[in-house]
Amino acid sequence: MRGDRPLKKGEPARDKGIAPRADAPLPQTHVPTVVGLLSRWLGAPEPVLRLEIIRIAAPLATLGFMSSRLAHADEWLSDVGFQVPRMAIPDYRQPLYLSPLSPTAAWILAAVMVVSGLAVAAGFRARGAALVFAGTLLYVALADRLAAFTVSKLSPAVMLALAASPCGVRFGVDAWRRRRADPEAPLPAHVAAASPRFFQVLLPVFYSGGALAKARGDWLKNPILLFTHLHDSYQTALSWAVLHVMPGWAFTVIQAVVFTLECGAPVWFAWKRTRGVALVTAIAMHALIGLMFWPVRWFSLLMIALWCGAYAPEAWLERAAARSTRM
Amino acid sequence: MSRHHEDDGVARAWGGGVVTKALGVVAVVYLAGVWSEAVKSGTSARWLPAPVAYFTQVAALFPGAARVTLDYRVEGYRCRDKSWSEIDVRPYFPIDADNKENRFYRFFHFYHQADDEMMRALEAFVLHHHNADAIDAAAAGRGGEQVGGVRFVRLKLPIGAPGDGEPRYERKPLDAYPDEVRERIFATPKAQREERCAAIGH
Repeated sequence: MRGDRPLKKGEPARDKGIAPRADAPLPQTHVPTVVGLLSRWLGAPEPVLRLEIIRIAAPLATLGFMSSRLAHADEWLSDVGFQVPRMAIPDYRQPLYLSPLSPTAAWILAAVMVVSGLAVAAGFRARGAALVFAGTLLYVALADRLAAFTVSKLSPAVMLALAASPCGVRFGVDAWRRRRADPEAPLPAHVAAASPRFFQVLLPVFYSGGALAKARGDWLKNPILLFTHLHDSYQTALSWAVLHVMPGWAFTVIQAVVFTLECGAPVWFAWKRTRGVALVTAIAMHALIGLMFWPVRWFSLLMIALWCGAYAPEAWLERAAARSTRM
Repeated sequence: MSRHHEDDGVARAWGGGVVTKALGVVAVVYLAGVWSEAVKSGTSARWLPAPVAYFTQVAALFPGAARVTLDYRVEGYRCRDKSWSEIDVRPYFPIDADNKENRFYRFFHFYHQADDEMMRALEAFVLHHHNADAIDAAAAGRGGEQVGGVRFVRLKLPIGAPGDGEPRYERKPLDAYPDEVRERIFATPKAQREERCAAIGH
């Protein structure tokens, strides 16, 4: 090893360049602004699969949820079924009164919902179809408060976000047609991050807000809160078996895990080190919710789709996209 | 709707500018609405129009413990012997008929004894459908008995403790439940029952 001696002033160095001036000015750099950081965060490339997973899975989960309603569209949206009368005074239970449709119009609306939802999942005119699908979802959520649940109210926002995104550029009917028209055209592997970021922010906002609602409710007071929800018509064979097998303290442990996950969601999912464990825990939580509260399975599937699209490891998504190119 | 932009191999929905910024603002308003509504119910309705605020009410899920298991039933007033017996309204509310997401159950989730107009609307609907079915059944020689009024009943079934070994949930006939777990929400007034019974021919 050769010993380094300090260079004398002005002495040329054979392999080390010229000695820096003692009073050399610092290089000019721009101080990062919030707007600059934000626009870089929103404009950065993200794997195209983030959007494609949500585009394919979210409308299918939503249609699954709607299927029991769609099978009775006339009962649901027309005077054939029971309709809550118009309330005289503005009320949270009736944010906007929409008169019942005729039975024919109800069936047409149901058909438009199914076709547009399937078109989004198939990637056929995906963005336009997402807009139409969102329109039908908005209508039914407002028209019938009795059959509206979280999926009814969340899915229009998901579909509008997809309509505003470049979804469908990589997979689906439109991408296939573009490829057939120009086989040499490169397939986009990335999308601008703005759209995936919406889902990445939505989920921690949703869960941390939900955790605060739980804290204001009974979650910090009742140690067997989950146990109390396993007794009604939501009950499945699994939830009944769990009810029998699990001791009281096990319900408390699960309750603590769920609360910790939801309450800390912004941290768990922002921090790279905890993201993987948090993602697996969130998916497991929703899988169990679906299996133990069977009518809620579509909500679980929708949330799992959003979690996977928003937070699946980038390396997995890149690898999957590369594999799809080779196929 | 603009076309996809892929100048640098990165697909974009919009070329930037006003549309992108407007969508960003809408997204921030929506996210703030979802979070504030979850933290305190009714918050987003204070600063957003009611139909918009409605779509932010998504995140506050299962905040409370269940004290009892709830179920809702209907009794019909039999004019012939002036008694009440259960009538099955599930055929008139066929969406998710066998679980608590059905619209009949959900009606009572939102509306209570004080909402007389709503109770009247439900009463009229149930009576109309039940009696129309009874007329059809009688015409077809399958029995069928019209009723003079209805009574809505809330069942409040107690929840045990872990390890109690309770039986699996099943929907039992109303008669199988003791009186102390039944709560009457609404009943057709006596005068109207008698008037309807007279019209039926009893």
